[in-house]
Amino acid sequence: MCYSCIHYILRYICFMYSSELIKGTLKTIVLNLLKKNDRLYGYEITNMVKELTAGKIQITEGALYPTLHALEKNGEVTTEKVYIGKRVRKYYTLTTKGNETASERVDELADFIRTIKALLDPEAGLGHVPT
Amino acid sequence: MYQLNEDQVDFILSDIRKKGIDLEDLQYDLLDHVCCIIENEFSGQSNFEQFYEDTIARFFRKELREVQDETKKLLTFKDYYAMKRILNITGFTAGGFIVIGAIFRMLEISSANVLMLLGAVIFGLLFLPLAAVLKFQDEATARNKFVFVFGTLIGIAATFGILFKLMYWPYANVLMRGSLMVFMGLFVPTYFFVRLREATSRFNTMLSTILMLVGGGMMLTLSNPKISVNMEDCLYSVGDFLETNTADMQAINEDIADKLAANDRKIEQMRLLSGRIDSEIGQIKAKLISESEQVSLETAGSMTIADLRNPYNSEVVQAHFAESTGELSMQSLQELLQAYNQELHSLLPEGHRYAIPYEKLQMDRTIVSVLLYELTHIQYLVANNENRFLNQYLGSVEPQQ
Repeated sequence: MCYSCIHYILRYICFMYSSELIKGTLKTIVLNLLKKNDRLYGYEITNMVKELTAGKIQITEGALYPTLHALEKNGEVTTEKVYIGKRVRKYYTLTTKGNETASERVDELADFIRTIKALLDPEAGLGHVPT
Repeated sequence: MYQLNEDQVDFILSDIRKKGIDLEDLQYDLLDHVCCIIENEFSGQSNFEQFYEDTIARFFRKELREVQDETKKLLTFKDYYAMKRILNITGFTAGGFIVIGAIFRMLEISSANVLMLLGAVIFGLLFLPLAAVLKFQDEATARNKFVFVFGTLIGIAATFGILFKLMYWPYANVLMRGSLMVFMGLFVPTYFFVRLREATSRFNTMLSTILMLVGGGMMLTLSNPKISVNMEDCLYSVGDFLETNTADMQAINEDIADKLAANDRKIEQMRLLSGRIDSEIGQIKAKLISESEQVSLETAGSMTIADLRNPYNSEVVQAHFAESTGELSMQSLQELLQAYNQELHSLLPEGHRYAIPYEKLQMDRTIVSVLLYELTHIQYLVANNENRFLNQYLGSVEPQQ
């Protein structure tokens, strides 16, 4: 049985989240990881997310690199190339602008999660006192 | 941890390029990532190429090129929204200029042409090309992209055709008719057959095709195949010619009268008759030009049809000539011309006199430039009659010493 078939089955056994949920939060995930770490390269980012979420979130390489390139174009990350033989490893670091964006997006996502939680469990409420 | 050799790294990089990744940065990103996975997960016991193929297959759904396409899409994301904003601004600006220009044209306000020109240029050179670029990005298939670009090019040609027509510039008909015929003969069938293949848009395609056929057919019928002419220039040219000839004829009459006996009763009568009409018409013309152009009577007196800024003014004709009463009105002029025609009987023999056929002229419900032309023509006929009289008299009266 090929590796990709096992991987395809494991997607369902391991209860991974749907790609739609991950797509909307990918940028926030990447920015937050870079904020908490000095610099990371692509493989490190995917591995870190997998370990921190016990495999529940697995960022596909096909989604990660477009996001990283877009962040670089927006000036939210800078890159540093390190040559390993014939390979070129790009380390990504947050800029000041990226730091601000990271904070904003994390706060926004946290608020969104609280709101959704209130929606799904109305009795718990948002914790606001209605006027 | 498995250690990749240089040949294996070269193989992976070459394969990534073969699979359609052109962006160099992305090539090296993917190369490093694949190498990291192999180094951490490949045991070295199984087949390397097979493990590599299974690894790279995780990166995409259908083909590796998807990663590059997604990267390019995200890189142009910001530009896409900026372009959409510009599209909206240029569209509304062009539309506003064209509508206001059309209203100004109806009200005969002078800046109408400038507004129409600006609107057409913004629409044809900014809005349509931007719309084509955005549609090009939005449409998934190459066929649909081609249809929209083709349609845009025809739209640009038609816009400039209409603009050229409004401005009386050359090649207006070539652009207008040409773009209409390409639209009806090529674009509409192409659009129909390309879009009909998509089941989801079949109804819209049929509806759009019918609307385009009907609209295009009507435009083709209404388009004027004749050469575009600037009617104002034609009218000015004719008016100028007539005014010059009238002035020349009057000068000739003056010369002839000087050569003849000045105290001849009939000569005096003819000269007075012509002078009365000429003076009345001269004053009417000055009054009309003064009211139409909002200048003093003195200034108006030296202006000609070609000097009019508002040649299409019809209100001034009604208010200050056709519907007015008393002096310098249409009624007073008609009475004067009637009296002139009657007096001509006694001065010129049958066959040599030409009564002024003022009843055949439409001097009301007309525009000021046409009325001025008609009045100048009457002056010319009067001068012509006087010239005929004086020439006839020339033979029978002793010239003045």
